[in-house]
Amino acid sequence: MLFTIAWRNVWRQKVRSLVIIGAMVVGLWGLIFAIGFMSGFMDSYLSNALKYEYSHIQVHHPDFKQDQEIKYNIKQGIKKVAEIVTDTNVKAATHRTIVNAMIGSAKASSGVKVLGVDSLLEKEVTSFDQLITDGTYFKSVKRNPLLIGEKLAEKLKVKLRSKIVLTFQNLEGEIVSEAFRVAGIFNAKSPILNETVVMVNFRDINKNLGDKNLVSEIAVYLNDVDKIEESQEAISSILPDYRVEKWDKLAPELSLIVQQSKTNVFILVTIFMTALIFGIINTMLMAVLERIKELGMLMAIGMNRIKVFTMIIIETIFLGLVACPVGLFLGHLTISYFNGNGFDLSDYSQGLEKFGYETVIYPIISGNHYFMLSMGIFITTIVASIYPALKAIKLKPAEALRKI
Amino acid sequence: MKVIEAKNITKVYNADKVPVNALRGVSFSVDKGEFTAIVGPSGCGKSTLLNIVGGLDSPSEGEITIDGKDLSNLKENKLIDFRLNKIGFVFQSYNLIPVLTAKENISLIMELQGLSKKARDDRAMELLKAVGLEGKEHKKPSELSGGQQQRVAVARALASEPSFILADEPTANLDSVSTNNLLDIMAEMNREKGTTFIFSTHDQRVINKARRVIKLDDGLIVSDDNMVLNP
Repeated sequence: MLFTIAWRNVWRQKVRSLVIIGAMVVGLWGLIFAIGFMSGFMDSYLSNALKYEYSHIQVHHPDFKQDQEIKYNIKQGIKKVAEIVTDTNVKAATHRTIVNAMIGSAKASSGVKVLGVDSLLEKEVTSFDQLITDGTYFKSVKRNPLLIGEKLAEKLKVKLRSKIVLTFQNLEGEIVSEAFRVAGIFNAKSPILNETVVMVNFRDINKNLGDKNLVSEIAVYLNDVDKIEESQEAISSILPDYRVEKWDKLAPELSLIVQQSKTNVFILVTIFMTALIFGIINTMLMAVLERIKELGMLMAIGMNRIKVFTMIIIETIFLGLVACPVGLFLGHLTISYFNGNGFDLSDYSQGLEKFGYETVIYPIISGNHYFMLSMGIFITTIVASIYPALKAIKLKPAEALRKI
Repeated sequence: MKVIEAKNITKVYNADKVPVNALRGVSFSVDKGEFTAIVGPSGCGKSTLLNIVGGLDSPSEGEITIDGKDLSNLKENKLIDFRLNKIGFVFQSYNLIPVLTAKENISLIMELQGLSKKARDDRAMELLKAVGLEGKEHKKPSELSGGQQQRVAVARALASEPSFILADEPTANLDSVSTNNLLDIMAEMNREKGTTFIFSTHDQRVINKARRVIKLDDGLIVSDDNMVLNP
């Protein structure tokens, strides 16, 4: 009967209960949306960075990171890529030649990083072909095609089919120059890629380096990121003398942003739960204080303090049990809507694009988040009910019965 | 057979600051089957005495024994159990749980005692019938008159089959008809089932029905007219 009394007590002061339930519903709803929005924001940023820039795993010569010179290359790299793709968790893998060069047009020059890629493999790994905003992905120019970012093209004042000269050192340390033509202009999500990277066919650059099979980097894109450790191990066994790194090591800033996002969610949830605790304490304390006589009577006729304590706890949990599903449902509906239609932030597009963010966010929230929030509400209601419940059991029946 | 034995009970409130002597050495005993009224003016110590007899308060000095058990030796939890099983309470303002029906109010005490649902339901219906509230089992207190609520309270007090029932001014909020009905029910239970009733009251109608009247004044028993034992 404790459950019956507790449940009916919840609805004894309908307005008061509905106010706190409403606060919980709206808070939970907002929290789900905020978490979904942040997750969607981070997810799109992270997936863009992985898809178009880093991929999941990269392999380099152990000294390459310190000094990005072509002498620090991967022996038989092209052959190793073929071995790597035999792993079922590997969606695609490609090899790249990386050369630091000077790029010069008729009007200006600049320092750039030249990526020599296998155009077919590269688009499987980085989907770079989808970033072309003008021209084609290596097709419109027959000899020495080059892809350049919008910002760099602007800086060099070049357009499609413009001639560009790359100057770099070969393996012998000699300065070599080669002319290329702009086949495509891309707009990558990363400002660094847009301003400091050009892409050419690996054969076109390697022929000038003194080793047509030179590979500076192997990039691997996985099917299931959760199995990244296993894949890393498998690749390490294929290339035991080289540095095999996951994305979070390759781009610690990305890892930091992801971690920061998780911390933000934690702070948000903590603020909400703390506010909720005080709201519930207020409601339940009022519920206890206006029932002093009744609680005194219950203890007088033989309800022990554990049962009185439990009754108050159950009553509070019921508040949460009513609010939680409604809040979760509304939150889920909102997330589902915006996940399908997107949340348009194009008014802030300039600022967002500058930092590599999407202008349309698709909020997402995992089942784990729903579970954690439900547990959070459950624990919060229990914590919040302790003080009113203690207040109730400290009553002395004789005194409580005298209250008007 | 003595149900209650009080020896030299004193109760001092606010002992550290301005002491108030609510009871000043009260001794009396109650036998099984008595129908006793404790009377006296406001502030004479009636409610204090009832609280001490009911195990809701402890005496500053003296000894109170219920069914041979000294209450002063019982810890809080044991005392609650003791009240549950040995004492029935009827309060001035009924003190029913407003969210429960009449039957549920009566059943609650039996649930606390651990009786099965069937046993609870059967006894609750039997008691409702005994207090003349058959057919009102699903009514909540707010749907019952004051007299009916107090009859539910009596049924609740009887539900645990206690050694005695303590009723603190049970008719104070009732009109004459309800008062007479209630007194008739309690008198009948006392007569037929031997239930022991102890009232605190100002009400002359209750005093007239009582077979023993203990008069308190200023924390002392000033008279004890036992019409059965001392006719």
